[in-house]
Amino acid sequence: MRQFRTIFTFEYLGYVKNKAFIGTTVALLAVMAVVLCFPRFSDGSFLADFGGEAKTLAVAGEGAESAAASLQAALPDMRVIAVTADEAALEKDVLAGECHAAVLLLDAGQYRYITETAGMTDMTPAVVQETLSSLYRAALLSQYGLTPQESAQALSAAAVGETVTLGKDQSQTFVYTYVLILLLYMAVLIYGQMVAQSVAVEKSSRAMELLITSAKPMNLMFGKVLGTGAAGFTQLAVVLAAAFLLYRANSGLWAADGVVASIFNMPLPILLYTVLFFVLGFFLYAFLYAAAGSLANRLEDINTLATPVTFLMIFAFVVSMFSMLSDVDSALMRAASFFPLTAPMAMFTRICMGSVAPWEIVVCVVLLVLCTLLFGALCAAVYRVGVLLYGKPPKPLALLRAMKGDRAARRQKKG
Amino acid sequence: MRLEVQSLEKSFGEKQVLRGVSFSAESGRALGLLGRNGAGKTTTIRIVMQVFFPDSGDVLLDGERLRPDRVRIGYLPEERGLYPKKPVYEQLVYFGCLAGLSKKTARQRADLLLERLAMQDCKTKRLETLSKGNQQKIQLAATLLPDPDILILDEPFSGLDPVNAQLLKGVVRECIQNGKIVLLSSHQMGYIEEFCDDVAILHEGRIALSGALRDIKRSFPRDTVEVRTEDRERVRALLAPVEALCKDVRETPDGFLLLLRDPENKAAVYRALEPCADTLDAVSVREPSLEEIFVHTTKGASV
Repeated sequence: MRQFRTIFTFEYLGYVKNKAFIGTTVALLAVMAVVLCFPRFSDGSFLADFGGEAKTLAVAGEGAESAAASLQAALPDMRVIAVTADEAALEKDVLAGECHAAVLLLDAGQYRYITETAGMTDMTPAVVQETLSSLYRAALLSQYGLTPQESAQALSAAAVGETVTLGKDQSQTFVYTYVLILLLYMAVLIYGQMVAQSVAVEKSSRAMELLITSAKPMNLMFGKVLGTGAAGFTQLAVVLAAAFLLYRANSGLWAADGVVASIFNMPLPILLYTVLFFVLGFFLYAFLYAAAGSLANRLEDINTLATPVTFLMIFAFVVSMFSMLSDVDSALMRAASFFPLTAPMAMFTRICMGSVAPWEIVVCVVLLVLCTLLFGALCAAVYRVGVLLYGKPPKPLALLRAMKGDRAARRQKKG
Repeated sequence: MRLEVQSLEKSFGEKQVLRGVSFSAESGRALGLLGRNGAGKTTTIRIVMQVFFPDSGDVLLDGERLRPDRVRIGYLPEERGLYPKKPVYEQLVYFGCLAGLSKKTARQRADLLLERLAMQDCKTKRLETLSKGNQQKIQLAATLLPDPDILILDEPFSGLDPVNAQLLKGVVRECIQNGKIVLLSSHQMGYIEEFCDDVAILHEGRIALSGALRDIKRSFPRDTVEVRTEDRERVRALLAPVEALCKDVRETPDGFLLLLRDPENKAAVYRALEPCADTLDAVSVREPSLEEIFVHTTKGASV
């Protein structure tokens, strides 16, 4: 136990004191700070428009004056002016950058919208369409003999309804689930690779020769996996805690933004599930990465050896992500949420966005814990054999034979 | 203390690496473990350290099965290995703690050894910034840190300049004098002859030769006589009558080397040289060097 503690502390401090690791943490903190403090530096409408001068919309043609007034009311961020010009002149103005866009009103509700580039997120054409449509409708209604008040009332009438959600409101849970799944994916991938790399470094620098002769392989592997995990969780905790505090400090400014607010106001049970699935998911994969690292001779080998592990992770991620856009309780997702390698993501997605019975969660967690323990033991056996195998990484069958031989020899020794 | 290795056998897959390896080593005497590349030295060492378990056979210390948790073993691997990117002192203390020392003792031992090896200045430097010789010294410090009872040194002197080699030799000699069991493995026979009273030569997974070096040398036929002289011509003339007793007479820079047909013929040769005793520097039976013994024992076969 003392040996395990020594290794754990050495690994943990190795990361926490590492300059690159500290640098990454500081960079992440800086990004968090800039993003979450952004409303302080901008005028609040930064999501729609990144500052600068108000853009100009020129309106020409029949009834330009009144149309311009209505458009101005509908587009408060733009400067709408009525001009007298023909199409060619408007085109010239738009090309010259005199105005951002121009509207040429034609007969009977027809118009031409002239712009240099049609931006994908530019809402102006839609607003113009909407405004001019209601003007046209109002004109038509008054032709049919309605007063302006009556036509306004008719045009603004809408049915009032209410949605009763019995399960989970996916529009509320979507964003934080998305963020957490992405975070889980990245954390397992990045910290898992760190485990593989640090095992391979010990092997390629032959520090393993000394390590393996002075420490038990079990202690070496578990110390490393847990040490790396603890360092990773420390980094995540620091960054996320800072994000939470920064959000709190700026919460007034974020109130209007439902998306950001929904991330930080996630329910406590979800937060606890996050921690649970992070821990289980990480260890499950970290053991696999440690085993992969123990078979590598040089750092270059890691990529090849860790690819199968990474693919499993990507598969789990993609399945969960796609299900979020369609049906999180589909048959595939149900299966995936009980298969231990995909369970951390799939079950977590279902808990956040679908309907899961409590027994399902219990079964999933028990399976995950058992599988993590099994993988721990199995990977320790691979590690025992792998760390002293130099030369070409062994084929699966040869590895299995070596593990069997090792076990037989050990058992005989004990007996 | 007495370390006994008893008929070790070990296979990796189809390949049988050890086919019954036995030898013994005593405290206060160094044992030279020799063998060609791939003869099974490293496997034997790893079995002694219980990194591998043998298919059959045993390792005993004073008649009882060796327990690595009871006995401290210091190992200097042939492929040096420490953390290149970590500070020297930090990793020495770490390896000390892994070997079972308390942190305080590990620190004290590390300080002591760094001073003994004249490396105190490098405490906070990263290992990779040191020269090869200095890295080697740190490796030895890591080996000696737990104050081991059994010391296993694999090529301890390779890549050292003469000054550093002298320093390390002093340290190794100290360990032998302090009653530690020392296993020394090297391809440089000079070092083995210098340090080891006993040798074990491994060949193709078996012990081809083992015992006290002195006895081994004596066991070879004493049939080579070396004659050193100032007056080569006179000696040549005097040797002519006894040439029939020799298989071969070779000229050396200092005189002659006679390979006798029978060691008993020595007396006749000595008598023949009597008249020119005043010009002789030395006449002696030449013992085979360890290198010759090694080559004789292991030549041919195997990779």
